[in-house]
Amino acid sequence: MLSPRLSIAFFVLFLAAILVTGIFWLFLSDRHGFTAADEPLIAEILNREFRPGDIIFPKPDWDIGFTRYLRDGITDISYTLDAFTKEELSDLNNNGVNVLWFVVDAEERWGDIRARFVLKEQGRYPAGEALVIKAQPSGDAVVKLFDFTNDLAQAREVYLTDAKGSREECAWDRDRWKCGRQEWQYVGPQRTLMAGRWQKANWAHPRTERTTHVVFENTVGATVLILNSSFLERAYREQNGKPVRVTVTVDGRELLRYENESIKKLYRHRIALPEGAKMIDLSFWVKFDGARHFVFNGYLGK
Amino acid sequence: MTLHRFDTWDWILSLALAAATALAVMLTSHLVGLVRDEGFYMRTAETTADYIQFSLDSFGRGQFAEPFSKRTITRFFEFNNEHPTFVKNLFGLSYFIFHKKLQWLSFVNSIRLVAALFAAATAFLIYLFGRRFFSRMTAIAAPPLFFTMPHIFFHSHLACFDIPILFFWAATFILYAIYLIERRIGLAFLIAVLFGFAMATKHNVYFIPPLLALLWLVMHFLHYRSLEPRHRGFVGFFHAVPLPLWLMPTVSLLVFFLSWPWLWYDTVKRFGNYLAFHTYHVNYTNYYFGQELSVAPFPFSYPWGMTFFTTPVPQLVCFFAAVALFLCWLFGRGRTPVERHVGAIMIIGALFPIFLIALPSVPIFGGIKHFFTGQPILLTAGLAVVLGGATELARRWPWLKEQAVQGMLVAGALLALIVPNAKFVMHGAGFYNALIGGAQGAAENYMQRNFWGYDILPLCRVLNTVAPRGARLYVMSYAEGLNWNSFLYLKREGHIRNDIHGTNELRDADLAFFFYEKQNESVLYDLYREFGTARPLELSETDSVYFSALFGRVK
Repeated sequence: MLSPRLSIAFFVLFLAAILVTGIFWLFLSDRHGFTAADEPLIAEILNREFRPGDIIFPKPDWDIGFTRYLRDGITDISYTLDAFTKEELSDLNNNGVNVLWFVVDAEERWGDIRARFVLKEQGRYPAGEALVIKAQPSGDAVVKLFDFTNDLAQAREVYLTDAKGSREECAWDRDRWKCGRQEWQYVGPQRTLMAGRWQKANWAHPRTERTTHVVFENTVGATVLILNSSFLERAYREQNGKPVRVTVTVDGRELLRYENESIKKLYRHRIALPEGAKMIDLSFWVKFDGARHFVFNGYLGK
Repeated sequence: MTLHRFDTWDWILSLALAAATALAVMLTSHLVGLVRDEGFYMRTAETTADYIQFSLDSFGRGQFAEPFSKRTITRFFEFNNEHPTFVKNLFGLSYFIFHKKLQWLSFVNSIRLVAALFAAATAFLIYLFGRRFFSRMTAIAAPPLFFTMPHIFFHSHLACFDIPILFFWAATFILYAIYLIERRIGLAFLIAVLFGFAMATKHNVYFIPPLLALLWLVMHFLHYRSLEPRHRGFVGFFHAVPLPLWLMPTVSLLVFFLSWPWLWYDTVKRFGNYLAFHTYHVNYTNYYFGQELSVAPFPFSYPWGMTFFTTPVPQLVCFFAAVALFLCWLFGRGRTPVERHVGAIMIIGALFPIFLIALPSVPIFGGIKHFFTGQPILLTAGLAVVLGGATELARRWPWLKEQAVQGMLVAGALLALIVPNAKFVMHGAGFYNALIGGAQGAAENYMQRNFWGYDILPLCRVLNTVAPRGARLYVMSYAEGLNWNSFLYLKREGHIRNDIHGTNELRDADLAFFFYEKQNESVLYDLYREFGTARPLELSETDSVYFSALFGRVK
């Protein structure tokens, strides 16, 4: 056997482990999260205050007991707060039209969230030990003038081109630009996970060796363009999936070109637009379109 | 190194512990939902039972060759041919006897009985190891401590290969160590036969012969000077090779081949397909400290970290104590060559399964069940060290009664483990220990919480109450949810009403199951939008952490 000292040391450790286990599972294992009494109170506040376009971020995101009491129609709940950066969270805000709701189990947790994302508290609703906070991004957030997802219907044109120069127009059909007969051949808004961040984005599955052009007219006098793109999970899990080449052209001048690699990553770019910029062409090209579940969003701003 | 005798009392105690284990597993089987793999293996149990019936009918007609013809074998053994059939044959046999013929057990329990019996065999093995190498107190205390690890207890219920292969893995190493000490020919044959069944259970064990052979080779030449004269030289080398290593490529291979009828025809091609399936096995996405492990390279720390945080703390202390003990056997001063050899065998048997998965290029096949096969060795030897500490204390302070201290220690550990086991009996694959903060701490750190829908029984009760007649239920089969076969078996078992239909399309569904895995969160968002509500009809939770949910359409 081991030396007597080591054996005794393990004996003592085992004894301590019994105490730790007993105390933890009896008294400490359920010490966080929302209490059963607070859950209806949280839901009551959200049922009253929530407006379409708002987003709810529960934290902790593993305790969804309060959703048992939510009214129908409240579906914009995001469990992905930790994946966002400050800038990306800012992008979700729509100049005060919609608000972000944070449901937290303790004041300290809200303090951490507010500090990390530089949020401005607009309202505070205690719900027992829990807190429901209405907040907006603060600091140097770009003012959103034209949203590529919300305002997709107002795109000047959406079309495909190939290397030979032939052109195929996409047509607006209810809520999307249809670009072919297949179910997946369209550019249209959806709520999705962009590299683990839940948000609205435009599905824009590219076609083999063709370029998908989405053209917006800068009628709002924007000076800044924010563009996010990513593959969806089904795509980046695909072995040998090809990258998508993203190009931003403004009035015929290429301002940005990058490869959106087939990995779990949100590509975010902020481009200063030239004075008097008019036509903005976002284009997406891929060598082979197998499982290229690709999305983008962004906006024009100041 | 001398081993203790295994006397009549040991037989009585070990068999009693084994029976108690099987009973505990069977009596709690109704709390554990059907995991994904069970959907496949229960289906094979049915085909195997059909094969048994077909064989009996053929024999009755005097057609003795018919059950062994290529046509028959292909008909009954083609399904799920990526896995050998030994354990599946037992599933089928048990189902045939205890459900179809005797009707003593339900469909699911008749198949799960095999898993319970392997759990019982493991309890016996642990007793044997504890008694022969350490003490009777170790032997008595180790099985209950082993089965109060929530992951182990959970997997002991399942009609899968994980507890059977855990038994075979540990048995091969323990019995081989005993063989090296006692050199009994009968034991060598037993090891070979068991290893053959191990090969016919799961491919994990293919690493054992090369590992044992390599280790023996190293030990042989390290201790060459102290070898008996008959074991020296070229011819002596072959005499010195332990008998089980000769029997593994002969007897074991024969057992393997005989137990798997699928290989009786087109042997090379079919065996090649089997190897290819596992060589190019897909990776199952896992979350580990917020990192999505979907493509290699995977972190070396993954299986070590998972073992550290998914083992209850008392048992974890035993694991460390066991490693210290084995290192002492291997490197301690004054140790005999056999002791060193046994020390090395135990380290490999205990840690190689974890080391293998830790290699960055090896896919993560699932949960910790794929690398917990060495835990019987770790737990038992570690407990012996801990109890040895009590012996030392009693020696220093004679007013302490050694056995009383040991008994109280084990009883205290078992008492402390009641609550976590009660909390996780339904979702044992989601257990995390106090060091990470339990279920809440693991969820906060984005560790893998679920693994392919099984945490379902509390949802079924509500489903049966609220579902309108003929309702369509989204079972999430395509997104790491409930296996379609499992859904059918849940209906057959009476857990889900017979008039409820399954679907894998959300847009067709009136109700939906959701099984939480971080990588499947997109399903939850789609579900919210499609159903027009985020309000669950039922949640399955532990310590406020939800594992699965049932939703109903409102629009």
